[in-house]
Amino acid sequence: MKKILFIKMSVLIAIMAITLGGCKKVFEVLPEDKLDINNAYKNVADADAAVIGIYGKFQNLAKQYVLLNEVRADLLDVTNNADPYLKQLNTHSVTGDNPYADPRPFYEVILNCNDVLKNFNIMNEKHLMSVDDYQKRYSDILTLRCFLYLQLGIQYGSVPYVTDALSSVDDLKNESLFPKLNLDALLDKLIADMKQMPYISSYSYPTGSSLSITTDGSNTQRMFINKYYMLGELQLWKGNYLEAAKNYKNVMETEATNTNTNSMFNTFHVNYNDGTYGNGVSYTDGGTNYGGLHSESALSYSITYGFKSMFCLSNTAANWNHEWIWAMPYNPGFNPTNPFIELFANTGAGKYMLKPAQTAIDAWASNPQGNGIPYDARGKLSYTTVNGQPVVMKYIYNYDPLVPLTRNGMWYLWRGAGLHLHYAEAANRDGKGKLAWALLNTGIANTFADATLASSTNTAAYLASMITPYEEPYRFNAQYIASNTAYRGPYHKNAGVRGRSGVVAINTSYQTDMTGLESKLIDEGSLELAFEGNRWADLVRVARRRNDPSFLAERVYQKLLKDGNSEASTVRAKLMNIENWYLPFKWK
Amino acid sequence: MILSEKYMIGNTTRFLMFVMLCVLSVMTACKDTWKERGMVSGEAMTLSVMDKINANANLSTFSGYLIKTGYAEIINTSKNYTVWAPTNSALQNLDASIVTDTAKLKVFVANHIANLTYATTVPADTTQRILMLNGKYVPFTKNTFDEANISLANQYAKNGILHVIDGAAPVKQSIWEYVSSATIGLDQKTYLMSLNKTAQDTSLATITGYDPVTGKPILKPGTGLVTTNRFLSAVKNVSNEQNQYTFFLLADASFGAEKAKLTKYYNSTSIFPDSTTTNLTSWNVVKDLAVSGSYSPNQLPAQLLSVNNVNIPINKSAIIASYKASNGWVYVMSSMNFSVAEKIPTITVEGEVVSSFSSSGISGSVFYPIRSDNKGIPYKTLEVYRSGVSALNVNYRLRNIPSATYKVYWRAIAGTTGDPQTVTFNQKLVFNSSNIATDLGYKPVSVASTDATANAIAYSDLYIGDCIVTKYGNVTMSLVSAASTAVNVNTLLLDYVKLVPVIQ
Repeated sequence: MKKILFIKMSVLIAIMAITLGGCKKVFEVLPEDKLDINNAYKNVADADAAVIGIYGKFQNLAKQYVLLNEVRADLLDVTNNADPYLKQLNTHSVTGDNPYADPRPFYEVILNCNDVLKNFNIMNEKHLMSVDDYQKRYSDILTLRCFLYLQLGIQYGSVPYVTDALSSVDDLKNESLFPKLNLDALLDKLIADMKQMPYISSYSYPTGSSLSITTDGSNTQRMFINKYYMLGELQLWKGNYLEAAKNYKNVMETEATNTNTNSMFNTFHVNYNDGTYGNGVSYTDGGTNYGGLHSESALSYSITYGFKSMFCLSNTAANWNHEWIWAMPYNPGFNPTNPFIELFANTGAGKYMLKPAQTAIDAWASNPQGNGIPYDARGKLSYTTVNGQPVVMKYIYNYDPLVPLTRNGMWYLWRGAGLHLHYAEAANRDGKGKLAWALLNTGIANTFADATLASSTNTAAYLASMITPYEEPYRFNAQYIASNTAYRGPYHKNAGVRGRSGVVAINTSYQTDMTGLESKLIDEGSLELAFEGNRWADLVRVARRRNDPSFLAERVYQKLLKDGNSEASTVRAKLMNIENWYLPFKWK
Repeated sequence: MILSEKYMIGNTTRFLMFVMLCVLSVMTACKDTWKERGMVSGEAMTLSVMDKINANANLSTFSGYLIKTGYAEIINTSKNYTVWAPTNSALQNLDASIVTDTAKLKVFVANHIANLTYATTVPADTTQRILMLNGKYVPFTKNTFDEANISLANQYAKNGILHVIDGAAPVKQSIWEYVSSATIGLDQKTYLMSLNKTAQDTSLATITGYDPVTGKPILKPGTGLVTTNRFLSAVKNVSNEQNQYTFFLLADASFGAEKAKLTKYYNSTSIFPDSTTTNLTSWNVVKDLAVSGSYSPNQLPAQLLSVNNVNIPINKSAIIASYKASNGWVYVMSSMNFSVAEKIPTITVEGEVVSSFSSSGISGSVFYPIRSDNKGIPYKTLEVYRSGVSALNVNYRLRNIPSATYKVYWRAIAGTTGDPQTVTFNQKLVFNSSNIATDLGYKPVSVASTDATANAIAYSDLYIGDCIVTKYGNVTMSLVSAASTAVNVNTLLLDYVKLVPVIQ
């Protein structure tokens, strides 16, 4: 019996040996449709693919970014169509299972960044790409990671700071290995990271780089994060106002050496509408001969010029490029899909989950224009009433409800007006109240030019008064006289954020009222930048700086109160405790 | 030979067959009451509503009427009906003219029959208005049908429900039928009937062919005629049975008195029947004499608001007669003292609602700005600035203006924020009615002020002058700029003009 078993076993073993031995590397065949990690980083084209891949993944965060930064703040309200998790964000009663409060998607991109950075270093050591290519790509991804960490810090208060290339987010669950840093400590780390960056400039990839191209109707240059702006943000949060101002000013100077004067004068300078270029509110009637008299119905809804056009033009248009510092377009042909149509539209594929808060609508209604029209027309260009419902339009101007699957649009991140408001915030804190006032209200030339010299023969003195009397980064040349085009300073068209859209300037007494002006700068954010994902950060930053939770709590309270939300008072009481500003850091 | 032997059946088998036969007989004898638990039985299943009526000796008169009018067959059919049958005693006093006239009797009987089933299962305070077979709506509550009491309710039959009532439900006229046949308030009735127009409804007329050229149908004359009435279409359709209204009919003296109060405001020499002074006046009396909702004498308030926003003053002691119609109430009034000021209201002409300009090619100079007044209320204006046209006319066509003397006010404020016209200037108003021009002369326009008191004056209505409209009709109002082409001189600015009639 045993013998038979032995024979049977031997035969089996022999068969196995023969079949396995005959196969060549059965367990080591590489898949043909996937890239193996060992082959992923061979040359600069692979590095470019990695960068594009990171940004593609980053774009998936658009929905969460806008929801966390707007629904929790005071300008965007939920509708009855909103899901319970959105309503939780609105009333600051987020539960652990809320998908919008999950930090995991952020960390997935961060870990991808870490991995790419590690591999870029390896490539650099192995000389697989040029030092120049390495520096630009490495700095770009590092800056993007800083952006993600700053967002996490703003939303969660204290978060684990990881720079290692882990293969899975789940590794992070071990809190003993990755202790959490609070926002302040995190800012120090991030600033230190960025200071060690090998390359810094506004554009991650200058014109001519393999990553700065036009493809599928879009230009890639402004899809990548602006490093000066990011460093400016970090310094502003940290309270290093001079450093913040320096970096923001660098962004304004992005095209300072461009020989194309349109680009040089207009890019990120927040200029008045000159008839060809302009991103402020405009009217199609009247004009200087008519003293700026306008019919209400003559408000321009142009999609190529003026305030609305910022949210309509493609990123290849000059006017668009004069304003947008960072925005990522959606193409209906590729993933990721534009998430904003569903959130905002109330026709076609829209689910109308979010609407402008009454506080935002009231703010526009109570800000008169210099031409006598008693409201701020930026409101009419930011939201509109469709079928009796107020609808946020900024994200859905390029969306046609009759073609519901073609979801064009962009994830709008940073633009000139926001840059000027943040710069003004830093300048104001650094004692340059008049300059901050100028950038908010009527522009450099209008504020600083000595009108008493205007009619005198002393042209030189008049022109000299049009340069701000400060050292860099507070020096702006706004020289201009009609008679001699040689005297045209780079900032001569600057009109101020309010001035550009024709809104009446605030009182000049604010030039010497630091906290008063700071509040006005934040108020202006609600008029100019509403729904663009800046609001929560603005409120938290200023409330935190002043150690005054009511600055934030009161605004959120007013939104809920005007919406008739029964939890308004509860939410105010809750937000008076800084700890409650932050979302629970829970892995899902 | 016995059977068992012939068929070779054993004793055991025989016994089993016997047992099986017993079981079979017991089973068939059993009635399956469980299976029949949901079935309705009794006479409700077998008798129709008509059978039910016939079975009740107390309903024999009504039964006779049903047979006479042919409704007996109808309520025997398989549709569902509800019949409210009056008892014999309720019908004994029925007007003989109804009983003898089959047509009238048919309408009367149909006033007691409705399609569908209605039981008295509704709460006590609920009144349903039920559509009867004759097209009238009759109120039905838990205990009553019209004004009769229900003596025996909810008699179910296979095709409906029978209620026995202790009184007949006479056929009521609608408000419009009542007014058409009124014997009091004849002047008002005559006027209302004069508003009847007969026209051919193309969808109802007989088509005899098609025009070979235009392709339009050729209608047979005299077919598809429908009568419309301007009162019914423009004020309230009190001929509609479905809804309820309250209508006031003025006795001749009262109608005359109200007309006398208004007649001077409708001075007309028109030859068109609708536009004569007397017809215009009559119209303006009757246009405020009907309201929605049925107000019984007890519910009637001291005043009601007409569709034209005129208060209808109701003095209950002036009610001569009242009639409960099938679709509401009619009150005949010996007097009804309308306020003339409400009948002839102030006319407001908004500056931005322009009919025409006297000069073309100035569109670039015409603005309709929105401003905020001294109380923070937004208002729209007309502003013509830098037109370069001397004595430019901006025309406003005012329609159906009563003949009266009007006090004319305007509100126009220069020098508001953003207004290039910072100093005062002159403009004037000219009225044209019946070829008579009234020029109120150039007047300066107010200028906004930073001083609150002065600003309040600037924003108040400014009296310009009087305009006399001698004949009712259309008036053209023109806002005329200064006779100059100079900027800041020939500007025009207008928020609104108010024409306040002088009521004498």
